[in-house]
Amino acid sequence: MKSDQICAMEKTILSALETGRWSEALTNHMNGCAYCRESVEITKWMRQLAAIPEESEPPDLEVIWMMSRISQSSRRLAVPVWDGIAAILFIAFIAVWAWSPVESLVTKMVPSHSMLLVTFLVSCTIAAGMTVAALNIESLHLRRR
Amino acid sequence: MDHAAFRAFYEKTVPKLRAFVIHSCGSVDVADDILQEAFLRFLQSAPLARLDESQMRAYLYRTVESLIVNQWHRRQRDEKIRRDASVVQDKSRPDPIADEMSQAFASLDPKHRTLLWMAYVEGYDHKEIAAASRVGEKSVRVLLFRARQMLMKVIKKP
Repeated sequence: MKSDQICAMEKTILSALETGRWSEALTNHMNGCAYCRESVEITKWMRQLAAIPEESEPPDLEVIWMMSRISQSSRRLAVPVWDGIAAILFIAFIAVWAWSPVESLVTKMVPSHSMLLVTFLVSCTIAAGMTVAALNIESLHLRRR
Repeated sequence: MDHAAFRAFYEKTVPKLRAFVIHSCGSVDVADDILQEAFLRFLQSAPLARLDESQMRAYLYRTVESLIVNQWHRRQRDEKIRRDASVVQDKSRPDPIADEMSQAFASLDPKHRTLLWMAYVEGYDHKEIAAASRVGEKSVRVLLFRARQMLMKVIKKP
């Protein structure tokens, strides 16, 4: 028997097996068709296997439903967090980009011997601002959870 | 999908799907973990609105098949470390025939198991199986033919 020698009557034969209604024509076909006989044998074996009773209960559907809801809401929360991170990165980029105009402005206002101290203070202020922003986003995320 | 629709679908689908996973991986505990993971993935990522019930069921069969294969690889890795066959199987069933049938089914190739189950337990035709497995109808015919031959060999084994 080859794979292209599949019998077109298989579906009808399997329906008869399901319903138990065997016409004479179907019985005659079954007797003469090795493919259909094999299909019936396989179907009976597979259904017997599927019907083996299992004592334990399947996983609780309420648990699955709840877990899926939780993971969906945390996925929704992940978006604002990423928005916040993008905003912080944008501020950092602007700070670096605008550094030289700020520095020249500060140079005019501050004596040159205090320049190092001013640079240090400005860097600290930006870093502190970014930390506060990051902490705010994190606490918002926790509160929503 | 709302809660009531999920409940109805779950109750209708779980008995046969669970039997498939149990007989494929030989452990009820592992099967239930796989089942839970498959339904979670189903609820999270399946484009449910566009699928009918039979397609949703086919999606689940595809998911459990891949989870069973992953689990099998993991188990092989663990076995290499432990070399302890006793952890593989849960307690044997009291019915030796059922046990033998289950072992025979588990010995088949995962793809063959899924095809046979979809065709002869769920009653899917070649077209539906092709859509579910994302392969051509002709390929399904050939694969199913091979799967039948492998099963017959296992059934007839003395």
